[in-house]
Amino acid sequence: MALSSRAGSGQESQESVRVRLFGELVRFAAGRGYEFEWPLATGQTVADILAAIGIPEAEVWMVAINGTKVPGTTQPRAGDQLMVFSPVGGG
Amino acid sequence: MSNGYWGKIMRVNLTDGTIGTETPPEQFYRAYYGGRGLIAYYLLKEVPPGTDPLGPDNRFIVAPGVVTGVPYAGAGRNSYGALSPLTDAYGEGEGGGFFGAELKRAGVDAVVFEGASAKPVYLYVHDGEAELRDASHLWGKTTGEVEELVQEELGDKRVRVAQCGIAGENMSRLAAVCNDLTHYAGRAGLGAVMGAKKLKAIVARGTTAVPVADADKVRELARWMVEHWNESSQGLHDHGTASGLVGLSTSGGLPTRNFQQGHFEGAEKISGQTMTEKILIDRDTCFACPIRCKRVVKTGPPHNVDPKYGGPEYETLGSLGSLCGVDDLEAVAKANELCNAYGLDTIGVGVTIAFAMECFENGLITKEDTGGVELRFGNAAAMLEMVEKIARREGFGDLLAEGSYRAAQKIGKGAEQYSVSVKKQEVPMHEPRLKHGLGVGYSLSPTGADHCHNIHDTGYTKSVGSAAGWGVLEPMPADYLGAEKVRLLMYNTIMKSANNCMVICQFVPWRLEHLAGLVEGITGWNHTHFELMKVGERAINLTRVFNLRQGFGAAEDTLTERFFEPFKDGPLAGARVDRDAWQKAKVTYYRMMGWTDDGVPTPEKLHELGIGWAIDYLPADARREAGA
Repeated sequence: MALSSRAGSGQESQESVRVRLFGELVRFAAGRGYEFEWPLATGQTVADILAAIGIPEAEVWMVAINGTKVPGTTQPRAGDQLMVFSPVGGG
Repeated sequence: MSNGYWGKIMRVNLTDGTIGTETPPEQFYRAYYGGRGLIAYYLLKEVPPGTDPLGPDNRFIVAPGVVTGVPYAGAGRNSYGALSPLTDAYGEGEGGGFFGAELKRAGVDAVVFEGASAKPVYLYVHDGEAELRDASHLWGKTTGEVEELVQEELGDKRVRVAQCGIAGENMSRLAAVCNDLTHYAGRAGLGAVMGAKKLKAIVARGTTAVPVADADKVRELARWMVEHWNESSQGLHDHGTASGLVGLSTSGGLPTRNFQQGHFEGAEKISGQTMTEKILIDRDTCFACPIRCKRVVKTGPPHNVDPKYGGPEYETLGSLGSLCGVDDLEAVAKANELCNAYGLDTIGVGVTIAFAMECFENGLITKEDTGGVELRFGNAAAMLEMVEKIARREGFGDLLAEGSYRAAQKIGKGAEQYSVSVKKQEVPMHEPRLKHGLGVGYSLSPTGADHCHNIHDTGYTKSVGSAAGWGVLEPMPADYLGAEKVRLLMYNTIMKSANNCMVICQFVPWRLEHLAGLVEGITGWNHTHFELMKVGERAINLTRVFNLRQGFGAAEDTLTERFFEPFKDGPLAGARVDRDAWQKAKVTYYRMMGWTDDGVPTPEKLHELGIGWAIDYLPADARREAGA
């Protein structure tokens, strides 16, 4: 991935993260489905992005970037995969 | 006139072939509902200590509940029970589908089998009539073949079939009971009880609607679910029970390589989402349920997975996938097909194979033992070969068909440490080092390790959801094991016990008030959530008394040693169950339940639940301990 795609590089209009919703969070995606691109603004944290999408914090069990669990204060980079999980039971 | 039940419990003596009927009073149904409550009642009264689980004196009980057979989401489920040949304790399992509803609509509330037939038979129940029929021609056939043959023989495609499979015939302690080919009461080895009794199947056909007290109220509730299920179960519909598999791996709580790890590098390859993309051809459902969480999958060569056996649940993708280190989705789908065709519990089989893989990798067993099979983690072909061998009790499969606990005893050399089981029942695909309350629940479960009548701590870390109705108002961490968590665990076990008495699916997002409303609308009883919880608690206490009499007390409420050891790597590296906190939580649960510190229900508690009669069934030492 090009360095210019890093968050805060000043190329926000071209930059985005790939959001993947798991479990029951699709209902907050406003018809975007389980996976979609989301524009990334300078300095945005994971929590900012979830709030912007409209996913209530209480509905989120865990967030990961590229497969690694992260806190909501993390700032993703353009091109990152933002994985958002709701609590899971059994089956 | 009664509503929700017929007042008829069928008694079938397989030794002499007689069929009779018991007609319990309304109080019986109100106190126990059906399902677990009914099973625990009959087992306590009729199966004394010393009974051989695979002998004629054991009972095999088929038990829908007072709300089964009425069309609303979640009603497509029924219970089976017996003294378990796997755990030697109280055995119970639930299966979905259509069979339970059909049996109820055939005019029967439950069937209690005793004795053993000299030759294979099946019971055909149709609109109030019942007959035992020869099943010699069905013996040795796969579940799919049996269903087809029975439907042909009876000239009715609409008959519903519950059966034991070849694994049950061979009395594998991992044998399940199969409903409608794609729904399984997998746990506790109940299929082996059917096989031991030469009871191949129970076939039901019913055309009579179950009488309902307040049809408008029930219709209104059923409609509410049709209109609202997708607000909280869309993911379940779209990707099935495995929609959360990647999340569990990411959190570090996906059972991997026999619970040595909690993170599986191949998780994305075996997830519910990948299954949807790659091999899903349809979604299936149970009686009257709009959610359609069941999978139907099909593949081409080399496995040619047959869609008639449905598709794998999360538990199956975990136990035969990540737990065996296998990331080949089509191979896991094939293993699921084989287990369903032979009538095996996918959890028990997967955990037992993973156990054997760890034994193999540590040199406790070799290719000489396995018949040349390189039984290593990640070897999908070896996993599939073992499933076949377990079902048929061939070669090394004969030993594994006993389950991991008994196999470990036989292998020796320290193999016991690799059997991840509680009360001899293999642990399902939920990790106590992630969900700490669930670990305590594994220890306390009357049927051995079980995830269905348990808490899933991760559901309460951000909000309490419906637990607010129990007065639990604050979320709490998944690894917290203090008194507030024990309280939440206790309410969960009681509620889910009540669900298993009704009998209703745990996945349908009914609110607490709806459940009491369903019972009230169907039966006409002036019903509250309090009464529903008391039914669940009553049933737990009956199972506890039964197990105490079988020799299962506080010392047997154990947890596999592995969970007290820290993960060596992954997102939960260093996480372990704190032994002192776990022990304290266990005793706190006993006390909150009104039991002694040794886990014995006190006479006062049994009286409080209206089951003072059960005091007489406590063993003498427990009676003394409880002050009876």
